[in-house]
Amino acid sequence: MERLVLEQGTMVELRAIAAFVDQCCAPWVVDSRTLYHLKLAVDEACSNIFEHAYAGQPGRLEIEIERSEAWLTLRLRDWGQPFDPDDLEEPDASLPLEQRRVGGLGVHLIRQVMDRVLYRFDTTLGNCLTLQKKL
Amino acid sequence: MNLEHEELKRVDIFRASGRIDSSNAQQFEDALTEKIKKDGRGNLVVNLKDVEYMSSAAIRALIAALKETRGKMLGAGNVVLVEVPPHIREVFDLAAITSLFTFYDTEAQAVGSF
Repeated sequence: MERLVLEQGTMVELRAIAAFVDQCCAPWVVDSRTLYHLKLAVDEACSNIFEHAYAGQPGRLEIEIERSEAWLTLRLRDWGQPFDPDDLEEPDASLPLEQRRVGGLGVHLIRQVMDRVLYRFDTTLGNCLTLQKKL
Repeated sequence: MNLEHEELKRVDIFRASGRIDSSNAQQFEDALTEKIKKDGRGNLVVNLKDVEYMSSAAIRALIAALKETRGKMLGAGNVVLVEVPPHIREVFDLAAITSLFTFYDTEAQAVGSF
């Protein structure tokens, strides 16, 4: 299992987080499209954590990546405001520009590119978002 | 992210490169909307050929620019995209916003659309 811990994480770390995902997943994921999907999912999830859970303030973030035979699992943990992605509505592609909501797009993208998305809140362990991709 | 700007007679071309994520999408949006807000120039061509990564934050910036041109130009302005790499194009498809933008293969075609 590979692990990245940011004690004072902010948006500035997004590039380093992408490099971490790249470095961990590249040996297991051969096609560049899937690798892009994994980086997108983690980037969107971390952006939400920094923006919503920590409201723009630096905060602790842990990322774990592990591989079993069939699954690649990425686990993100924060101790900010709990946020359940299931509370967000899916974007409606049929709406005209003026009525489009731009919030929630990140969560929608995460659901599109990952096979399993699981959210769990625990007062001690923090908010845990588990993203899984079938290999 | 780097952003190069070329001003033609009726059209502004922006050539982006690198990474556009939540840490710099606001700069991207500000650069795209500055000309529209200040000078009422709302014909934008955005070349994404050298963008290696973009997230929903970049899409929100492009939608904001599109809304700005439509508002300022009373429906006459537009934001069109050119030379969009396959991985980036897929983000538009996944976000279900492909229909909001016109995609061109070359800058000449994109400029000619205005």
